Amino acid sequence: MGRTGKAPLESEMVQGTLDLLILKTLAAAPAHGHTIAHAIERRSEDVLQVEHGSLYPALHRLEGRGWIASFWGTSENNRKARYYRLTADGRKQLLQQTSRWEQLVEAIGRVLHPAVEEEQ
Amino acid sequence: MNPLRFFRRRRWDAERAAELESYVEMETARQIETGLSPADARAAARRKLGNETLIREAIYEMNTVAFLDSLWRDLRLAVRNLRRNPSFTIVVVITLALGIGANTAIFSVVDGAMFRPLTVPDAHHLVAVDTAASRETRYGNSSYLDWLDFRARSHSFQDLAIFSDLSASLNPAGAVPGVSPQLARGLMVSDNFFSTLGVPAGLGRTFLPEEGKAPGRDPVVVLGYGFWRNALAADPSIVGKQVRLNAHSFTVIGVAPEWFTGVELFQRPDFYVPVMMTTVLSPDGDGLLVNRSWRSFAMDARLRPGVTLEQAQAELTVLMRELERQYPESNRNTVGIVRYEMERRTDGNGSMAPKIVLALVGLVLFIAAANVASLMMARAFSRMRETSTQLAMGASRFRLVRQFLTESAILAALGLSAGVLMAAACIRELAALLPADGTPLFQIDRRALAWAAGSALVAILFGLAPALLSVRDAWAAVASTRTAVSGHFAFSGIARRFLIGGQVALSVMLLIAAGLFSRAFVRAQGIDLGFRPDHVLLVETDPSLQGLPPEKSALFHRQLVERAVAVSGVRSASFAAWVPFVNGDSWDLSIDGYTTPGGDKWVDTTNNRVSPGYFATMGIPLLCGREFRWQDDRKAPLVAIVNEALARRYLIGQASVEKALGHILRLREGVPIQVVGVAADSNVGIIGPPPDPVVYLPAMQMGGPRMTLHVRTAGDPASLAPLIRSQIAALNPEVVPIRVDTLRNVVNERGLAGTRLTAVLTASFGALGLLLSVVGLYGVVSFMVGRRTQEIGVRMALGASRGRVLRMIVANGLALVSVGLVVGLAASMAVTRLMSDLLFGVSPWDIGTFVSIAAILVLSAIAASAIPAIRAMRVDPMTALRYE
Repeated sequence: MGRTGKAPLESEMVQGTLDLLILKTLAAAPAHGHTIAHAIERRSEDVLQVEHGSLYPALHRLEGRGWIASFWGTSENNRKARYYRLTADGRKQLLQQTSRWEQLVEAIGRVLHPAVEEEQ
Repeated sequence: MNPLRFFRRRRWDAERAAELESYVEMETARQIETGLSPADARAAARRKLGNETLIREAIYEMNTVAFLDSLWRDLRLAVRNLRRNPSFTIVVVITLALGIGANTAIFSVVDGAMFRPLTVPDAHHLVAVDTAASRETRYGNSSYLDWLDFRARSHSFQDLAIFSDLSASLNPAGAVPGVSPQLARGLMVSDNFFSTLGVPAGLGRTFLPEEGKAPGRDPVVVLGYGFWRNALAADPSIVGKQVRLNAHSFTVIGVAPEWFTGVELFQRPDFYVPVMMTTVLSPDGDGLLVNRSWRSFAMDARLRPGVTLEQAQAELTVLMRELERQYPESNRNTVGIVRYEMERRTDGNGSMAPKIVLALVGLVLFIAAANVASLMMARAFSRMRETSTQLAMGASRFRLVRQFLTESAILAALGLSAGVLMAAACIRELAALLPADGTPLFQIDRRALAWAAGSALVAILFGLAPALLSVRDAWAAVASTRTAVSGHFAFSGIARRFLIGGQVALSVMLLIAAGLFSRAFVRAQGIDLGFRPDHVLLVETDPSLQGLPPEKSALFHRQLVERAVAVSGVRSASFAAWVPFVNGDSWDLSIDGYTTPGGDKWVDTTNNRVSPGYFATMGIPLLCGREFRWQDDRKAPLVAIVNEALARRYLIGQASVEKALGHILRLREGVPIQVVGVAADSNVGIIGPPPDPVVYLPAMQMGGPRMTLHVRTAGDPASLAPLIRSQIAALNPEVVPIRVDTLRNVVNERGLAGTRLTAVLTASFGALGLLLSVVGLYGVVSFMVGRRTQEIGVRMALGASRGRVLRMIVANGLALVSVGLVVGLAASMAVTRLMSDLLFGVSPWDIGTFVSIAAILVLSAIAASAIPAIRAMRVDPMTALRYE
């Protein structure tokens, strides 16, 4: 349990990673928190074990920035649920952040495997 | 962030709660599908979600101006916590208020009264120049002629000014009609007095150099601001008008500025006149201006820039040698002393009491601080469980620390405000205790306030230490509240024992000082002054002011005595030049056959010139020889009566007093004066120290025109005043009494005021210290009893009698106190000797005081422990057992 009182996911994942994952998930279709959480978990093949609760502050933050918007709707099994969808701004952000992320991964890769590159 | 969200965060929060709830429902449904029971499924869902409160808080905080909002929340919570525990809050606030308030007030008053430079520009460079007739003399006044030489020959000083007290009947009727004459206290000053001090006129002008040239030529007066405002209703056109001083017409040339409070902090002179006017205003005529041995003037000077005090002193010493060679008769063995002006005012005996008071008030502050610290500690421990529970629930450490700090800050703020209010009230009360004339306006001293408030804050932070420790070690605390805490508890147990012991020791010292001073005050009131102050009426007159020649003046006084004696209700009457505690003078005296250990023959000796019947009227016993007779006049051989102190010091040592009769004394004039009587010692100035040597001379041989009639009455002396006034009017309708008072009044106002102040102050501090210590002890004992409630319950359930349990707890309380008590008593024995000069003969190791203070402390400790013990015993044993 969190002694520091901070949501673990935020402290354990690279800042902005969760945001990116949420944006990516919403790019396909609007979804509510429960769906998003399970989608991230499933697609990452359970590598990213998130505490689902920590998703909500992130959703709130993204909504605050205007990248996603929310509305109350009805879920697949007829429950009231809050849905999120990507805004135009959010779509732009997703593109930007995806390319930045790829650059970052590439850079890290070069740092981690410099010898391999030289041999080639 | 959308600013609107800040105001709508409650609604937002509700919405988030709903959203999270919907997640839980969906997840529960999913878990049920995997085969879990509904209850387990819901629990699993919640686990998957995580700490819902934290999530909502995280979102909530995103919507806030985080700092302001959490501050507001902390404040509300802190206020709620403090209100939940009102006795703790009140005790801490009162303790802080008392500590801060008393300290600030006392420091402000004592500092404002004593350790303040004069209210003149650049006061720190003002020096006092004293000359003394011999190295053994404590009087430091200088003569007018010596001053002229200092001014002419010294190079160390920019300028030197002299001044001398002068009381006179000031009648402003000529300037402001309808104002009656009153006795005013003023200064006779050199023409450069104001310019040397750097004080410009508030209105009009100050003195011109030529007004210091010719005796009696320039009847001009500068009025004091207070007199001008109070007696003359701040008449703006006063300059140029005439007032009467002792029946002489003086022209008002100016008014001193409001900020100038004179050359002594407690005297705001009513008027200033040039030294040259001594010829009409003083009974000594021009004697002051022509006699080098008449040392009547205090001297203040300003050093030239770049000249050090040491250089000035060296030059003055050389100058004094020159004067000694030039005027051996008057200046033999005289010395000059230069020191900073404030040093002269604070060096003397009179400054001991204020220093003691400052030390005492420091002790009170320490006690208060220790008290607050131990109360805070006790509270932190009683909250340890709460704290660990909060941590276990996921509260952040930072939040908890902030919460503790907020509570402390609120306590500090409350205590500080209460302290400031209290300081203001105390300053008012204290100012009322000081002599009414010329009391400076006291203000809260900011340095003192800052210091006291700072100490209070340190105490609070100190007391916060266990709270912070408990936050750090919450894990252990959660695991097992009792064992984990015990380590800290032991540490702080020692700290608290130390604090309590220190408090008790300091309180003991305070109380003993207070006890001694109170006894000293009682003793001082009943102290044998050497004269009987009750039933004596004093009426001062000076017929020479109405132009009567010296012989006629002398006759007037003698006839007045004869008339006064005839008034019914009068036991006896006489007159004298000086009244104890009011005024006095000292002359150089030589005694045939005596030289000082320093090889000097002159001794500076207090004198009084008295009429026949003086000793009987004052109630001063004559030990041997005879009183003066009316025949001891200017035609008869010179005679003197000396007091026992003079006889023993200079004439007879330990031999019987009769041996003093027949000894020959001489004044500077050298004519032999035979001792014809020895009077018992009596106080002439300060109550307390051993009486000074005094020589009494017959008024008929040595008296001036200004005399005070002393009338001993059967009943209330004040009621006879009108009758005596009418006798004066019958004798000479021109003569107006300068002063009418009773001897008792004079003694109380001038002799005892300082002692009363010291006694009242120390007694208040003692009481305050005791109160604080008892409160502290009570707090700690009740905290300890609280921790032992379970144990007490067990003991009672097992059949321990109430008396036994009570004794056990009280014994614990006493054990806490006893070490402090012993240390305090021992420390007091070590330090009270320093106060012995102020105790009027009460022993600094007064057994009665020590024993009664010890008893008071023990009784207080018993009360402080018994109350929480009794409360604990009322608790039902079953409740007590479940208490943990």
